Amino acid sequence: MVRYILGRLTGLVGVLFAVSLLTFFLMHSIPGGPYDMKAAQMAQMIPQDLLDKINKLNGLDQPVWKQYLIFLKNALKFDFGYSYISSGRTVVEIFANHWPYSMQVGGLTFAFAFPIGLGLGILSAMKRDTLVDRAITVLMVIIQALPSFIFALFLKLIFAVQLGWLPTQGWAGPKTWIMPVLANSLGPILMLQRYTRGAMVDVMGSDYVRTARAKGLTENRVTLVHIFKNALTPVITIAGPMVSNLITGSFFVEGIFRIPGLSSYLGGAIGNRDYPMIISSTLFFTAITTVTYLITDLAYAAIDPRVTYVKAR
Amino acid sequence: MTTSVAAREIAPAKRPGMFRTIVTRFVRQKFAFICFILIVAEAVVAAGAPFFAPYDPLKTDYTITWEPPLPGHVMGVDDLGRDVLSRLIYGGRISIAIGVVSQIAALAIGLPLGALAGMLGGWVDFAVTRFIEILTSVPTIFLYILMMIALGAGFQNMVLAMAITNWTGIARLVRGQVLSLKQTDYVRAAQAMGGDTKHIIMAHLVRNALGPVLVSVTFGVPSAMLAEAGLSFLGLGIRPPDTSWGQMVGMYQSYILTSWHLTVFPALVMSVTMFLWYQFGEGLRVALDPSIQI
Amino acid sequence: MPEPMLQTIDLVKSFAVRRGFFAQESIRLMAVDHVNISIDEGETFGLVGESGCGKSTLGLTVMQLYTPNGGQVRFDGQDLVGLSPEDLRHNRRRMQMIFQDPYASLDPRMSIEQILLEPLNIHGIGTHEERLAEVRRLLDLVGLPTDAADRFPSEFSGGQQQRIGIARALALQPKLIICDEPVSALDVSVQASILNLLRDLQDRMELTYLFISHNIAVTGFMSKRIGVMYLGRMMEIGSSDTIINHPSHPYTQALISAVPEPDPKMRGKERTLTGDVPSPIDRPSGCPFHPRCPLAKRLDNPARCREERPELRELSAGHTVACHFAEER
Repeated sequence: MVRYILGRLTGLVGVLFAVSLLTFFLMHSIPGGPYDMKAAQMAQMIPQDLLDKINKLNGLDQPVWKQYLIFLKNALKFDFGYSYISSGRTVVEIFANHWPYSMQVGGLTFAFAFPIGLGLGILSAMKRDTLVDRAITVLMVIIQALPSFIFALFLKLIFAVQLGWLPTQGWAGPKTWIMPVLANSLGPILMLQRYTRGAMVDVMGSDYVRTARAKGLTENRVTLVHIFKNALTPVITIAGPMVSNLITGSFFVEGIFRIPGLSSYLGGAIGNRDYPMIISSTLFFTAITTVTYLITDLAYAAIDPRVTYVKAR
Repeated sequence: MTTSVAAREIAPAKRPGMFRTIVTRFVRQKFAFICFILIVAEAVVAAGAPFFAPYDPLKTDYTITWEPPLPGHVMGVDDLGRDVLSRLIYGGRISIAIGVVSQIAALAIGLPLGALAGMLGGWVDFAVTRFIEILTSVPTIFLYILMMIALGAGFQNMVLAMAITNWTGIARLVRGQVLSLKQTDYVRAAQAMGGDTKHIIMAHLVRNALGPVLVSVTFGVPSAMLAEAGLSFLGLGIRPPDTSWGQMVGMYQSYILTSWHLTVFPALVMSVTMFLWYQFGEGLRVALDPSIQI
Repeated sequence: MPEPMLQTIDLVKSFAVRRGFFAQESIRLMAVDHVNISIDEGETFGLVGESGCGKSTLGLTVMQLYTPNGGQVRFDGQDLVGLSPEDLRHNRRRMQMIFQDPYASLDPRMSIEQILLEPLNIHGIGTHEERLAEVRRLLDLVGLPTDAADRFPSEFSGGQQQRIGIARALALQPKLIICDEPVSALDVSVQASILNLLRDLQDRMELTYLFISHNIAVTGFMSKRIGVMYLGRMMEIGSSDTIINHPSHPYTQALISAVPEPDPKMRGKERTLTGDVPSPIDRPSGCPFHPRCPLAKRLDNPARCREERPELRELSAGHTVACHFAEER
């Protein structure tokens, strides 16, 4: 087991290395540096000698491979440099300031979406092929075609603009939480419902559930002990894709509701080619997703006795 | 063996081919079939935009800026007095094209790479799977963003970015199909009959992998439309004067407090189109799965 | 004496098994360990053994679907090992295979007609019309209605699917058919009809069968001679009568006694096997059967069983046993 974890961690480091390489060279393959862009946007000329000085300060005058080595060396010391666009703030500072908001959005979304997605999945499996099941399926089909940012706009239009019940933007107190969380929940709910329903239906048709019934166990006991336990264990395997989904969703939701999270901050960074921010956040979110996958696999092995990562002798 | 004349006499009427069977099975699912017809109709309208659109999508009319729906402009006009419906019809060209073309491009990369990895195994398989692993460990949105920053905005670059990002799913699928197919008894039987690799690919792999691949590509189309919208939303997508549905939603949403119609119509058209494609894909999935009786 | 239809000489098939996470060490699994069998034309040779003993691997290796690691597979006088793909293709026309799971052996997306046309197409036999006529003849031969041609495998029962598999194997008019557990996936009521069909076809078409099964009763019904396999090695070979009624190897005896006895008066003297089949990766030294062997136990576990691997030796004419103490029973 220890060997397995070590192996996976090595793999994770390898992936992060590869991604950093990919990201770095993609970012530096673009003609023009970040300060050219900024200068153009401000529609004012920065004197060439000043530009050279700034570029030199940021190491942009070096060849790309050298820049990469410097970046890598610093990254190992957890130093990701300064953000180009917000003067004087380091990438780590920006993460420390903005990431908590994104965490809150993600956490609340998960807390909301998990019981609902799971509940709808269980409900439609238990009432399979009834009106309830069909109604839920139709709902899910609609959700599938409703991107979170479109849903967010509709919510904003109805509840903030037309009805005036909720504030149009911000992140301060429960009233401002409702719409972002609701909008961001659609993806996770859809994913959970589909997966739970599928897993439940599989288990319900299995021989051991039939045996449990044949033994004369009460229906409640069959459901609780045999169906839930076996059907819900595999649900944790979607944690990885789910985290990825939450990150993507919050990108747009934070933008629309002007939440000062990392994602909305990144929106600005993207337009301004803020290399350190873009590269660091790509690495950061990749690490989060990959670690989630690793934890999921380990948790799964811990719960499901059939999964072993170490070959038996 | 008997003479061919005698043989012809007992030969029955030719059975419908694989393609005919699939079409019949698809058409039998009325809802999915209707969705398919609507998809085609939408594509025809978008393709014939100059004929169907009531106005030039770029023609400004400053006398009626910001107007909500009114006679002559059923979906209203935008900040520059341009007809929203006409812009939607023209925008559909790009949105639909990105969805379809990007998936075909992804297929063109993913199919051969996945098949090669599955069939050759060894270091080819190792390299392809590692590469897929690295690409898929980055959240998709970041891959799109990186690619679009590196390539620059615009239709072609967007198709390229999506192809590079989306081929991994198809490659994985095809590789899995090849690997499991290699283990089946009917492939063993074909080998025992003396069938070579070419025969097995043509007779069994294509026949069995085609369905899942086709379904995956179909489901990829609405996802690509969504990604297009997301990127345009972030300002990395289609640049004016060109327009797309995603770009309209992204640009107009900042006026949502004052002009609802600018956001609602593009958003609805996009959602409905995605819905149609998902239903079409689902119908295709059922039609291609021989274990489902319809 | 004419050449046998099929003969294996010291046939070996082993697999590399990865062990451990980093997979540095790989171990050879001996699935088929120096096996010698010989089948005369028109004969049925039964191969029995518990699951995992390597009998199916032997079948696939004979077919050259697995490349042997050593030894020869002589088919109709010619060694198949190392033949060029073209020569192999030519020889494969005359040896075909029937699989255990009939549904898995038929491509679910092919109609029965396409399935039966496949071998004819591969070898380019006849015109299209002649091939279609042949499909109908094959269906008739295995007792299926000709309108089955337009339907798909999932529309048939297990027994009917196996008939389709048999028809496909017959399409190339082979001399040898390897039947790999052809009835063990079927209901007992259907088994008999498939077995009878196989015997009937053998008589009509002068077929030679290598009949692989874990069921010694079924094998006895089908075969003239039987070989018993355990952990990749042949333990005993003899006529069906000898193997079933007068087995000499303790393993064969245990297998026979595990067959349910229909006559209640005869019951009660079953000798059941204790312990599990050891993993073929960690095969016991000496006689692979010695840790479970009742005879070895009775003889106070002689060192010879642990140390020396017994070779097949002739007890009587046509009856060979790989046991040091076969005479002790």
